[in-house]
Amino acid sequence: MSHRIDSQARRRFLKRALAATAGGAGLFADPGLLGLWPALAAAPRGSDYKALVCVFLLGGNDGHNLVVARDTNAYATYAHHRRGLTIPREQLLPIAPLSGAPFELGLHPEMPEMAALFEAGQMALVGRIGALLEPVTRAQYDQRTVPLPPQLFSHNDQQAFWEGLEVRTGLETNAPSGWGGRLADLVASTQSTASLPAAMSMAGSHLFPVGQQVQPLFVSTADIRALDAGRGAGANLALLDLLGQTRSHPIVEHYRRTLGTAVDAYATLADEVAAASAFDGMFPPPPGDNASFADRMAYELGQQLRRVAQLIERREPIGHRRQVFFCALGAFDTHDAQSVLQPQLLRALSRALASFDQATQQLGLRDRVTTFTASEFGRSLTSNGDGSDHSWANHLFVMGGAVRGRHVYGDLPLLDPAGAAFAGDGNLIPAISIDQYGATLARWFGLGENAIDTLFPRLGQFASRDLGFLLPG
Amino acid sequence: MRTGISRIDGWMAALLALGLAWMSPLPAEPVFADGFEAVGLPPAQVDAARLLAQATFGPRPAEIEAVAASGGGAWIDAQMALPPSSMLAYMRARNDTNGTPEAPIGFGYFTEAWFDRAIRAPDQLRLRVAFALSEIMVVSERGGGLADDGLTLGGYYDLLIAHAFGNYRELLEQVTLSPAMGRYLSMYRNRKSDPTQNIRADENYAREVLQLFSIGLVKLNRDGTPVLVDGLPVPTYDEQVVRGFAQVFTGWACAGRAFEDTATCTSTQPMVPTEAYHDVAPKQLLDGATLPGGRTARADLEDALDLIFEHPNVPPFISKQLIQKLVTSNPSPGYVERVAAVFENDGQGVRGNLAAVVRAILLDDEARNGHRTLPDRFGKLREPLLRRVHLWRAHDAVWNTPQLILEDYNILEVLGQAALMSPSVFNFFAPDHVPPGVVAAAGMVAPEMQALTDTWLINSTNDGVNQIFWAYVGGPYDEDPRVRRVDLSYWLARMPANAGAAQIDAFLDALDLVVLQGAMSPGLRQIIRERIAAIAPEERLLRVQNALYLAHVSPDFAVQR
Repeated sequence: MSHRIDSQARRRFLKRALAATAGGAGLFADPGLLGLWPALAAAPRGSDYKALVCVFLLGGNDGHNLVVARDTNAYATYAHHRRGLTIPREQLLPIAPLSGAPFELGLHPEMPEMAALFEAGQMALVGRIGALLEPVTRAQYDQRTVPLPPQLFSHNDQQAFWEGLEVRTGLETNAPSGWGGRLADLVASTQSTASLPAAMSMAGSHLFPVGQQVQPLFVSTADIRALDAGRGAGANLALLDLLGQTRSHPIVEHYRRTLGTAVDAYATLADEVAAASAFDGMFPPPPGDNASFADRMAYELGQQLRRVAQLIERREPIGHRRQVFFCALGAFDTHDAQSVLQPQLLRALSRALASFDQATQQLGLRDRVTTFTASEFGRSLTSNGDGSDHSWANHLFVMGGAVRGRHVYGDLPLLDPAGAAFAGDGNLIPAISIDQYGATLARWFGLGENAIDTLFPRLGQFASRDLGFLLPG
Repeated sequence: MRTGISRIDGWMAALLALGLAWMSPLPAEPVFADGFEAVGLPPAQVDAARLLAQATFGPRPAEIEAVAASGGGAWIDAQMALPPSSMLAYMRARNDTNGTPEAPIGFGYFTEAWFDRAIRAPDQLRLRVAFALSEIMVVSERGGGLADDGLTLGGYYDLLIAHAFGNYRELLEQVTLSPAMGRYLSMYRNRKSDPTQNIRADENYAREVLQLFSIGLVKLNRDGTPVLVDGLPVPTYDEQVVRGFAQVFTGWACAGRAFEDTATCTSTQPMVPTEAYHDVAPKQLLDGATLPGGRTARADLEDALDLIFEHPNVPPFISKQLIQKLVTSNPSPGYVERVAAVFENDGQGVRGNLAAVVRAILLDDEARNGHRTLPDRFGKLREPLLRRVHLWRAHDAVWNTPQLILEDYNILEVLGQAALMSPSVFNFFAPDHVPPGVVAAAGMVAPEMQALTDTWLINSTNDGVNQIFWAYVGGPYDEDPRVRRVDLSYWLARMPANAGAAQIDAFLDALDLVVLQGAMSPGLRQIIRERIAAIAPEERLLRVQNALYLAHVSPDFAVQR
């Protein structure tokens, strides 16, 4: 016997939410944009599937220790400027990029899985990427002669900028949205029968999957429960009637709509997750009582990625040909004890991502799923004794079968703060923008150039519209 | 308890009814009225219930009567005169460490103390304000190496309780020097810059004390709106200022220990300075103010905190957040300005008097009458944790044992929120969070919505089933010490067998008053009435349970108004 509410009924709220996209305004009113999925529209159902998976490293990962120079001189420069934070040279995991490396490189010693994926051509590094409105030189930054994203070194502001790519002053009358959610808005018209929204967060409330038209689903990594159908069944039927009553107070009304949508979505989710593979033994196991921080974090991210794999597996019954996922791992704000904490976080990251790579192989979709990392900012080159502080540009990486792997994109500069890559105050200046990173991902996802310019309006400010780290279509 | 006690009964009938209901064509949706139309409730009682929802961990019938009789001002006076509760006192008694005040205690005892105090302590207003402060000046067990450190965290919370009606300047200093905050935002053992080693002072506390605990990122008018120059907000500080404050906050470490001692500072005592590690360079601080070089750590700290305290942003910044935590997410600029004025000067020439600020917040005309004067704007979502304690207080939760019940241990998983367990210094939700859709279209914020994910919405609804249909006194869990049960006798007394229409109306009035503080919409009232009518007249318990459940999971209850 089913615990669920009849599927036709449970779709009612969701359909209403999704219906907003059908004849909608804004992005959808532009006929040029509606034609942006020609290949997708023509493709038979079930083919041409793609997913983007964002793994956000909350707190600002220290990219200076993610990938490190191994050349004697370049390493000496790194070690000189990072007292107390340096990784011993002999512990670095050597990698041999086919292009883009200014000197010999090594990955952090706790990331052997990622080093192996890099060497196997399934992973690429993206160096010196960060929040920009337009290209910035050292002199321009020092003299403040170019506009910069607001509040460059504040966690919440930079998370909002990274995830939203909107310049907001706080005076706007529209709600903020994320570029993952806006991508999903564009997808909605091509999968209008879908039973779940295309953008889903495994990491709670975040801006990235929030659209202007379609709202994302926040998915639990624990057991998925539909609305109680036991002792509460009769009352829950009355609750559904109550949720049909439109309300005038905006917050009451928002709550009503959100609860109604959640009721429907979780009924669907409960079905789909129950029908999905468990991926037994593939992801990091539940931590025991004495588990290390690394084990606990590996489990936390692993469970998010496991749920992503399940939703990818169930893409056809759900009705998805495009999916956008948001995952996150916390605690990268290593002002203190960085040499204890960051290795464990990177250990967790490497294990969980390697598990996810295995899962996509098992699903036969390794080249259909692209995973990319994000983090609100990089960290200071200088040490504060046993940690590092908020800074600006960072080094990230992308993973998947569609990635032109074993290359370095962007720039990995010599870590000399007197160099042109650094500002006078010691912050590393981005050489490439998040807009370029996002545009590269969105183009692979299937967006046409007009749509890309709509999604990333500052893209034209930068030399390259595509960073080249993904294979075409 | 969350899983394993649900089971299916009568589901076939339910499904059938539902299917029929959905098959009928949908009419164009009328907009239903939103409550406060109930004429049956005495205004003094509604006002008392609303004040108690704003200022305590939830109204109870007897307290509503008492406040209705005494008036809000007298109740606030009486509350402020009560001796403060202490988390540590409870924790030490439970941990049997009363004789050794600095003995470590597990964090589980803090959570236990928090629930005990929130539900049972008499000094509700003080504790409610302390909880609000804990969401502004955030430390968390989930970070900064504070895992399971109940002593240090309990000491921090007691500090918030002790200063909830004190002065904000003293609170700021106590927070700054507490080992919990020191460890959470790494001011603890922060050392002076050393250019020869490429070491700079840690900027963590400097940045967050400015951004989150005092002045915020942009200059504010006294009414809390941003100062605009050429149509744009004006930053309150830049990187140089952050670095200046980072230098100020150097040289502090664990009381009774050498600065060099790296052992964990599990302590309730304020941090103490060691001058050799304090940065004696001149420091650039807010708005062009500087501190000369060569001074002591304490002199620099006192002057720097004075500078923050005197900044014109502090009164609106702190006042508005307290209003948002207690009363309404979208206060009018006038409301913020009236409270900020009291923050600036309590009438006796004192700046930062939090008792006066709290009183001004709760007795302001907007707090008392906003549900009528601003019917489509006034109010706030109840926080997940507060929803739960509101329910437990309204229905006289019963303990079998002082120990944490299973649900308390998993409170973060169940509710997505727990005291001192924020995922970051930014709290569970941001004061300016705008959920997309109707709230955004109305130009409003709904901060708590950030914590109310789809997952939470389903869990909390199902937990309502668990709590009301299963975990009640006289129910199947009477012998299970792991379950906290609600006592429904107040409601059963109002639901006689074969209740007539007038008796059911009286029951609904009581439900409206105690649970919803008068905000029951006509639609909700009708649906509960129909639900009661659908249950056999002799099934008093089932009628009560269905009515309470619908009230607690309704959108009407979700928003405190």
